[in-house]
Amino acid sequence: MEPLLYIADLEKQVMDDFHLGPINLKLEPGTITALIGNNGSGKSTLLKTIMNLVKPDHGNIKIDNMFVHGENENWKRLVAYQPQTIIGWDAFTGEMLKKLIAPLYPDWDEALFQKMVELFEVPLGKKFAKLSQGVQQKLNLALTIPRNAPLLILDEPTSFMDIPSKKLLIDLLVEWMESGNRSILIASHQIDDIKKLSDYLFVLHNGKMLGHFEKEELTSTYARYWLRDSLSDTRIPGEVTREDRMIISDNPMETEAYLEAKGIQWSNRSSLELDDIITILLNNKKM
Amino acid sequence: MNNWRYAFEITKLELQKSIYNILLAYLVTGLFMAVFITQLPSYLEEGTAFIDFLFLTVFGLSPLIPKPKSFETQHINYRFIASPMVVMQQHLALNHDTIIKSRLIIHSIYTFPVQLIGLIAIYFATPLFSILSVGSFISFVAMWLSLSFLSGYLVPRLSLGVRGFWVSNSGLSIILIILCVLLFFFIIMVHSLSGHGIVYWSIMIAKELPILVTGVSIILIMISYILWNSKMKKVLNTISYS
Repeated sequence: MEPLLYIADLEKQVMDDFHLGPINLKLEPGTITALIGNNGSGKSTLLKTIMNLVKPDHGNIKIDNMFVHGENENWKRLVAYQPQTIIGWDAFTGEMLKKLIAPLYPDWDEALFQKMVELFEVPLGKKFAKLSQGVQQKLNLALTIPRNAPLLILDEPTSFMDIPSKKLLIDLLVEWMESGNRSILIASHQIDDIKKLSDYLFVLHNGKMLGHFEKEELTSTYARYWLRDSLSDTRIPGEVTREDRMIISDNPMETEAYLEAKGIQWSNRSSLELDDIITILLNNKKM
Repeated sequence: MNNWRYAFEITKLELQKSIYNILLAYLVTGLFMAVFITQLPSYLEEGTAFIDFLFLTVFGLSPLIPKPKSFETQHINYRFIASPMVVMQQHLALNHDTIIKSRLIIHSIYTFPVQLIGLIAIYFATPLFSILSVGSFISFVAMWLSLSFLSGYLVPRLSLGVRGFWVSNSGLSIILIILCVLLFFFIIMVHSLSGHGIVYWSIMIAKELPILVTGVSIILIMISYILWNSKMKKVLNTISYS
């Protein structure tokens, strides 16, 4: 299947002290990818580069086979982007913003917009600048998701939201994805968003790409063992980290084969939670 | 043509929210024009540098007209200025040409109507009426509007974004001081070398060479549109909003 978003060898030097990339990424239609990384890892810069708001030094980005940094700008209708920081909306009310934004997207879903406004209790007659951060974020989402663009890019969509609203949003996004030919790329630090929504995880660390993982596969890759006896200092195959008699492995098959061969028994084996795995990946060190 | 229509559609709300500032811009320009009307007879006889300065300010320094805070070109990031409206438009499904045209529309509405009406008022309310024929007056108008286009398009250009030291507060202050000094120096030089001011000479040139002046002015307007347009496209293709 042709990827909806295709990024190849993307690199960008930001100021003197931050280098993003090289990044390679393909997003298939019908998938949700969580963009994960430590603070300052370049998540927002990557999303802005996809939107042609930041120009890359090297590499290519294609949306539906159109170069984002080329002459043809028709790809813009295929993307709905919710930025983390909203600039330029302050003077307008929600109603005015809708009048401005909706006509730009041929598949604008008015019913979904009204539904979101009602669910999130967004006052459309109030100036954007006078709304709380949480309500601003809700309005921003209500003006982004109904664009019904094939690619939805969300940058920290729930960072200021209350818990019930987060749940509502997750349900809305799941429902929105049901048409099948859409993709979401979501930058988030919220583990619940990542757990409930994502099919794939794209992990960045200080601008470098750590990997693009299928979520279920990633969780099945890691296992935690509690051993009956103390261990020698020798490193066990697959071992990522150890603490007293507990070890974590990113290759359970190799680890178990080694332990069995050495006659080392374990009293318990469990899977790791996704947040533990992400922590291991991001810290890039033994827990 | 379609891009002009889109550009107009997306500027409607901004215009609606800018109405008081547009009226203020018209009022200030109108006041300046009123000064010209009262001072022009004595200016034509004695020639005061102050009138030249005012005239050049109205037609050459329209970038100084204040916009509402939410739309004015301002610091978005460290040493990066842009209009928040442009940043917003860049997030939406709008092509670069439409964004540029929307900035041109906004700038033109702030300046063009009041400048044109002001010049017509000066013509009919001062001795200019007896000095310039209608044809010569048209060339006079074309000359000053071409200056307005040439320098005024700096406003939409800046609104798209500028990065670097020169857009820091210190950089902008230095530029403003240098501009004012150069402007004063230029006005004083013309007065001391020729005995008359810039506005006086523009009237005389329009009177003597109306067709040439009109032609050159129209060419200047076209060149300034093409150059600024191409410059703005280049900016949108290269600048990073980060």
